[in-house]
Amino acid sequence: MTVSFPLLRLPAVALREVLLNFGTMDLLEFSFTSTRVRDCVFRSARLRVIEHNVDFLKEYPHIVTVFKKDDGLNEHKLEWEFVGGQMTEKSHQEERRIGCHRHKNGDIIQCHFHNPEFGASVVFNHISKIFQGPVNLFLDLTYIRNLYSILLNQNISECRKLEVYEGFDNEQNDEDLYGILDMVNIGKELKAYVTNQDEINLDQICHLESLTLENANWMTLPDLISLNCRYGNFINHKFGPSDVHSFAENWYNSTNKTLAKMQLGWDVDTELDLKESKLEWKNDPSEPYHSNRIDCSEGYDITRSDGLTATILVRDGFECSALFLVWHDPYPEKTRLNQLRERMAEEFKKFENVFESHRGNEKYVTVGKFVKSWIETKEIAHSSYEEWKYALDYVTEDTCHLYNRIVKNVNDIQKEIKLWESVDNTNNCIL
Amino acid sequence: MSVEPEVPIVQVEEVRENPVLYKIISSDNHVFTISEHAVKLSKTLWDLITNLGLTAENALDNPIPVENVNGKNMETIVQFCERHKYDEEEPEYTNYIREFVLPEWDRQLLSIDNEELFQLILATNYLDIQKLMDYCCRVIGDMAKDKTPEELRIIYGIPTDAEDDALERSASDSPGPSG
Repeated sequence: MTVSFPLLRLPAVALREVLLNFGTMDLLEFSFTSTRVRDCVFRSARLRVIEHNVDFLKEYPHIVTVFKKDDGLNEHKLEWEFVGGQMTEKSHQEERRIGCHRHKNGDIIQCHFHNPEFGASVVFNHISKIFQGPVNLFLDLTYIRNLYSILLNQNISECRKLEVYEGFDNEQNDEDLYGILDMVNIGKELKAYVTNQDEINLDQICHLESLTLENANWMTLPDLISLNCRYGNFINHKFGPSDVHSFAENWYNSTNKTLAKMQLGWDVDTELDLKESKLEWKNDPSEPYHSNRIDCSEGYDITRSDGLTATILVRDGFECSALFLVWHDPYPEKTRLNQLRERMAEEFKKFENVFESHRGNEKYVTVGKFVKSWIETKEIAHSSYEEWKYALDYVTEDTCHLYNRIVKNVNDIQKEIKLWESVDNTNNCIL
Repeated sequence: MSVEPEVPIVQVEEVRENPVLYKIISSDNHVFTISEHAVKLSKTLWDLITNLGLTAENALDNPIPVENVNGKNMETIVQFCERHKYDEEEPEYTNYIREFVLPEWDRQLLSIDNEELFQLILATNYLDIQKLMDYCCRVIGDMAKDKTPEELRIIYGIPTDAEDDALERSASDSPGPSG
């Protein structure tokens, strides 16, 4: 009989290293082996994840945990579906279980609870203690039955982002946004598509980086000016052209460096006449400013004493809105391309260092030359058959692993460069 | 870059002139010779060498005793370090999930029984060799692939809650040092 591996006898540092090398599903399974192991996993693993999306948008809750692999590029997801009723006794050959929950293909785990919302809350406590990361909370007030008991769970109510919807049946909602915001601690972003809401407390939202409110009828001009958000979007409100002028003047006379985009729902028949503004707006369609798929060629610009330029425009069409855009980086593509070229140069430097430190060994040099030509041309297919054969004779596990990471990095950078270069360089780009 | 299976693997040759060598004595008095590049993979050994002021001239005359590691483990460790001495430096690990495939050579080196693997990890932890620790942990992590909690309990010798409770009770029932 094979002797078991005494995992729990490993020193704490080594045990943690082992846990970090478990697959996500395997780590979950492992956490279900005993209470002692569960506590040990909670204490030791502390794996970082990109985010948890905790979703109460449909009849049954749904949780998705997004992982980043340590190559920093790839992601994978672990999904939990919470459904009502008992799990059927019938066993399925293709099914596996995680603890008491089962899953079929891929990473979707199905959990059966008499009260699925309660189940989601309990399971999320377990998941969030093993996999740590920001929480994005999605609520649809039409479907949710135990809203306030869910929000009592701090693992859920301490979130980075909150999205609240009222669905199609808004008459039945007794919940109000004020009450929700009172219980939820949002870090960055709020999107509230709720129409029948009363005034909300400005202190609850003024620190947020991104703010979208369907109903901002309660908001006054001083409220709007006092917000410190980077992105604001208010669909229904009481603001008129004079408020927009005042908002723009306030920005112009301030040192606010946070605001990037303020969007106000706008009646297509209301004219925003900039001649009534105290500021001197200029229209220069040749300026290729662009903001995430917003055509700004019809916009009017103004530049503040610190050099920061803002554009104002009314966008008509299906969602008519007045936009106030601040150009912190008018050419994001160029900035990113420059960063990527710098990273490429760093990879070349790394390659030169490895290449130089192995100059004495013929086979390393040969592989190095091969890698170099690959990096420089990225056209291996054009190498002659002789060149290929000569290089491959020397490409062994021994020699190529020296350059593996560099080759991979160069490949990834090259892909991103091509992506950015393909972005249409007009003033009709994507933000 | 894929490895062509028909390509013969050429042994690594140390072509630099006069490589600096160090001598290490294991707990059971086996003596090992290791090159400077290889010994640098062990933070503990390299700190010791630096602190003792060993140089190219006196290195072989001053063997380094390593009390906590036996000859068998030291042999594996020296082989591993010599194999990986020219590897590109690994980037700092993050707390994100780690996924990599163990190279075949290393998988074979670490195809040892569980007790030996446990001892090797203790030795690796003591000598602070990050890469070998990563590889050993990968081997242990791979044991868990697609297993149920019941199977994992057997693989890693994990007591059930009831067994843990019984152990705890018997520990609290037993008389303390003062009797």
